[in-house]
Amino acid sequence: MDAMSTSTPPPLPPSIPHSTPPPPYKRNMTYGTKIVLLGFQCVVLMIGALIVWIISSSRESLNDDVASDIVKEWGGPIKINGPEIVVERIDSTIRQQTFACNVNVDTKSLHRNIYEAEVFNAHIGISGSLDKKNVSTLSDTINFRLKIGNKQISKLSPLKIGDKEIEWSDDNDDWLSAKIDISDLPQNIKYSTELDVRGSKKISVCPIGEKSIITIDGNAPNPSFGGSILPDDRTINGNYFSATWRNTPPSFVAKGNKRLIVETDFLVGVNRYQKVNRSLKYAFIIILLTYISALFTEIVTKHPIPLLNYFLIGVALIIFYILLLSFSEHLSFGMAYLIASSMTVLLISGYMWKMLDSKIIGALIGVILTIIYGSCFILLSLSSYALILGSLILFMALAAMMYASLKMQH
Amino acid sequence: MEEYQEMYRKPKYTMAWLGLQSLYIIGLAIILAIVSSGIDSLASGRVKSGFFEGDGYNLLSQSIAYCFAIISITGISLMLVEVVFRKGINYLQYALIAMALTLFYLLLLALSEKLPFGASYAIVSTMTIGLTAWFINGITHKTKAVGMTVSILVAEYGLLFILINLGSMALLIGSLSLFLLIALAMYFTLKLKVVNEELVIK
Repeated sequence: MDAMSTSTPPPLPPSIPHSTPPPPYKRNMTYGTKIVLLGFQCVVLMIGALIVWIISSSRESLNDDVASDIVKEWGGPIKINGPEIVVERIDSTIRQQTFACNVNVDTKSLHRNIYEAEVFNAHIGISGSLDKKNVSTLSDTINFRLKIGNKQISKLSPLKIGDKEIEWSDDNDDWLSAKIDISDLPQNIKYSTELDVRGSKKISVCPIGEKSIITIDGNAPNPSFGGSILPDDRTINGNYFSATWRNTPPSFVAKGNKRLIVETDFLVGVNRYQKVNRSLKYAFIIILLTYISALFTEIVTKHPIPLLNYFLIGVALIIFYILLLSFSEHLSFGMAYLIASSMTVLLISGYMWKMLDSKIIGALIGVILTIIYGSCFILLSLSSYALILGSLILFMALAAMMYASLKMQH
Repeated sequence: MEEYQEMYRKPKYTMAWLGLQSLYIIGLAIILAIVSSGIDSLASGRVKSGFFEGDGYNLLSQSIAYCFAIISITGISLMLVEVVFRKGINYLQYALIAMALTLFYLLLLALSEKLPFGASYAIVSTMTIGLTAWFINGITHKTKAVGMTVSILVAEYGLLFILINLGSMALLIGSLSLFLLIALAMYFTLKLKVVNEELVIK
């Protein structure tokens, strides 16, 4: 016991000043191990990107639900069928000599809260003619039946025949009708009428004359023409489009029960959720490039950056996408991208500045991240040049890395 | 002599501890998130059998969606409490606190069947925060540690109540608070210094 009490305490190790040399916990980790662990972190962060993709898709389906509600109240697809000329006594339809239909469409988007739906207003002008011979042997009165969804009509002009004007009656839910005595009309009976309708998604017209001319024009971002026959003439000039069908065979000779129609679809463009999902494709490359630049900074400055700090930077890069998604619901996509990316760039470059205590490195990381986010935005806006530009950017990134590694050897 | 012991003591709060502990907390949060989704389906069963009104159910179901976030954020801030106040909280105690945070949803379901949702939310969150504060006080015996935990929990439950009542603005506010959270985490890692392998908040 005496020996124990007299023995001196073991000598202390020299105290390690913890400010200047790198902290001791980094000494045993080689860059190889670190790169492998960083690669593992990238994989973990891609799970985060997947979660953002799931959130974005569920928001998209919610938006679709609300949009279909809005569309239901506004009015669905418009189908112009007629006016058919019916002799009621024998319930048969008379052929028209000529038929012309002009549809002028004006699309707009309706907003409810943050959700939006694409709808249109259309002005429809219909005119046609028929030979009195075909009718006069059967009856003195004929009936015009125009089938358009009655609820979607916002303005209706009377039917003009010669110099007479006859109001449409909507006794029947399925069609508008007008009854005319033809005994005092000329041999070639001409009629015309005009109406305004509300609708969405598409407009289709039945060519019901021996000769039909149908024109659909107006403003729409993504029109697509089709139906049974393709248009003879079409122009798309910016937002303006026009399509004309001239030599369509008459609809009543179509075989089977299916009637011939011509139509224009108004496709919804790439919405904000699809844009966010597209930008998520670049998440891996953004994380990779940021990690590589941080790793080079670490090697050059010889100041180790702990894996935890790398992970926080990676999480910030994933949070960028959540910010982008939530901002793009309230602002335009470009504006949302600008705000979200500048927030992320400022955060990460400020972090690097404080961590390595060097303004130059902070600014350098800021510039690199700005270039990365800027080129990603360019890639998103260019669709056909995206591949060539993307591969060129990767080439340049590789060249920059090679240059940096050459510098490091000296 | 005590000083020497302090110098030779095996470091506890190392970087490896940080990594392992975070993994443990995330695993715990995943398991309890599954449990809380069980509470969600229980609540929907109660709605079908007519004990529970649909409006309160929507709010409850939305709040259950944040269960994972609440547990992992609370766990990570408890790690911060450990490092700052240098008082060990063991694995079992972490698990117990996480269970209290999950029990919150069951209590909320039970109480909001009888009371309006806002009132029952206030009562149940006060109960949960009180229980956690008492437990932390028993572990650390430090008023500051209790104050820190309580303020974090109050902020979490306050934000959760705002988020479930916001509707379409919830994503924006939620993502901005995530951004704030990551900035806060970055701030603390800047304060985090390693002295002889031991993590210290300076």
